[in-house]
Amino acid sequence: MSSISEFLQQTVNGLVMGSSYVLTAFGLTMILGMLDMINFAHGELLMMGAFVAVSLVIGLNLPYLVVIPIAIVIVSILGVIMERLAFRPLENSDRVNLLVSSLGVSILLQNGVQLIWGPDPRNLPSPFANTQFTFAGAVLSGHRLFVVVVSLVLIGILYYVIQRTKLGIAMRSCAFDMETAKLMGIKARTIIVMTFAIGSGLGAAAGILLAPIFSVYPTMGVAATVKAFVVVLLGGIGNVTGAIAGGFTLGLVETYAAGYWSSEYKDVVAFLIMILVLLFKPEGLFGKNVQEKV
Amino acid sequence: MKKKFVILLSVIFLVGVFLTGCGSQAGEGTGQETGQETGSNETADTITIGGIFPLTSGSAYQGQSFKRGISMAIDEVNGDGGVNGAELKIIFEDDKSIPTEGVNAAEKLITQDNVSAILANFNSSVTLAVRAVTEREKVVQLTPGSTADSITEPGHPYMFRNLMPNSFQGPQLAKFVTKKLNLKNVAIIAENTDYGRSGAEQYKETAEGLGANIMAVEYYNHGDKDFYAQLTKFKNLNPDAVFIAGLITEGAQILKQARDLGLETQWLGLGGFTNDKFAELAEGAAEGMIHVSYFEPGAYEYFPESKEFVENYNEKYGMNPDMYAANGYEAAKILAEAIRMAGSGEREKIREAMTQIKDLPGICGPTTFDENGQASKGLLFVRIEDGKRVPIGSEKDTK
Repeated sequence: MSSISEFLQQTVNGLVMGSSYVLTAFGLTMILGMLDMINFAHGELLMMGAFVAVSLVIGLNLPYLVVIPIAIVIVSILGVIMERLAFRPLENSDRVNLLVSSLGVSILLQNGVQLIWGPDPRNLPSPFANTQFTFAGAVLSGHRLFVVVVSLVLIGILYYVIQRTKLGIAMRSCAFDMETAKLMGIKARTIIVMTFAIGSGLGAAAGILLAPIFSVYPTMGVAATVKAFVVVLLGGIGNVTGAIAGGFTLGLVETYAAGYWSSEYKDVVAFLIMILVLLFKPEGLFGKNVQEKV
Repeated sequence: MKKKFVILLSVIFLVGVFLTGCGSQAGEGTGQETGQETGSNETADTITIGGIFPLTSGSAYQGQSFKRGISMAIDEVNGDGGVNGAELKIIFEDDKSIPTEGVNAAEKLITQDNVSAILANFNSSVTLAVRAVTEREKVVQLTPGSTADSITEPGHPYMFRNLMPNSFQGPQLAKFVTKKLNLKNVAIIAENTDYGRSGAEQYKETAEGLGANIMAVEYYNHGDKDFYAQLTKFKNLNPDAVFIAGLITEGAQILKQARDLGLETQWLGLGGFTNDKFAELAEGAAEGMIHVSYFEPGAYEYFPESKEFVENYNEKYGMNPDMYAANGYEAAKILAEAIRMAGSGEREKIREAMTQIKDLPGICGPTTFDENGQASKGLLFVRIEDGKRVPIGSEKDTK
């Protein structure tokens, strides 16, 4: 393996991780932008997506490709229920109450899943696991390629929805200024519910796509929440373009750090970048909204 | 309809919160009866001991194995008429792999249940936290599962261990790999914990002393999922072997991702891979891997005393015992013998009896504790073939 193909392989590794970070971060950044709340239970939606998919594939013997949309819909509904039970009753209270409430939901989901499925890690079989593509010395398994393709498609659809459709414009107006948006006749309640449904569904998609590469277990969402949070801060709160750039940046930086320096300091590098961004460009690499809102 | 649905969900929510809170109850009710020096709640015909293991959370798989092995040993002792005519009783507590939970459980067992001795724990960090309690309360603690070297360091008279520490397995594996298998260019990927770091360092030291070349040492955090970066680096180095100093969840992912990348090498591992779940999680990528094991069912040439145990365990639980079940079973038998020698459930007498045990026959080998409470046992090397662990040698082969 030459150093050029090693570099190419590391870049591919970074882009695959990056695409999953983008998917995970989308839901978090949308909710953070709209409600000014950090949803600590976001990683648990990813975990729920993986567990629902495992149950459907192994329990009901459904094909993986059929399971993906079903599990996304189930977790979207769960996201809406979560909003209704844990966040809406607190909508007029201090933001810190929402944060604590989301922490509670996170612990509840982890323990609930452990109670139902048990603590053991498990696998989710993928039909693409045994195919491989080689390109200039870099190897990519069929499933990892599938992750990238589906992620890019979902990212594309979401980007179009946010930038071009009426729903997207309403979402952006609510995120910019909820009160004014209401005065303009936007049904803010519906928009919040839609945001939760879409955000949860995307989180679930990340979980279902990554489950065949990684094992599925009840506490797998914790690290995902933290990584998504770093991506959101890198890209700018509530900024979808920023989340895309932030996700790929984080994936590549982490992979290069681990591959060319030391894997021990992989997470340190990610957090160092986050701190630098917070110090010198607190609105994020691509963010403008926060300052304008303040 | 809508309202009913919301109410139903709220109830599920509350039940969930309640269940989450249950685990902390183990620590309640302590502090009132401290100062008792003997295990005295037993009537003339019952002697109570405690067991603290991770019965839920990430290490529950191992914790449940310990519980099965220990329960079987206690049933056998009682079936044979108990200890000096008294029935042996065990109370299990869950430490969830968390040191504070372990400490709470130990306080409860010692002060509230007045146990005579404690079998605990699995995770080394929990064992060390509990050791402070058992030492203060002067209660024997015997661990059948923790391998951190510091557990049986000098100056802890109530701490005992019936399996070998990390400082034994890393160097023994290094000798076996370097001398017997003649694999000299090795890369190491290790968990960033006491267990992983000490395993990696000790392997490196011994292997380099024998002329091997350690090409790279990479660390990962517990719970990491993406190892492509480290494995790509290894692929470029083209090592004869890659040694994983870690546990099953991450280990299985490392093997699967290496196969994805087309990295072909001899895989090596510590004793943490001795688990049937491992080969299943690795989905075939673990084939050919060589790792350390402390016990294998059916390896009667190495563990001649274990035949009856393996058969009975299979009959009782419908599965093969793993090394955790075996070590737990053996530890309970050792404790029963110490109580028999002590003549009662008195804590200090049990400690004295533990130090007097000489060459007590056991399924993992005879037990004698040294002055630090460490028993001298052996280990096996196994290779994974068709998803099963097959013994290929023991530490005696590397001498």
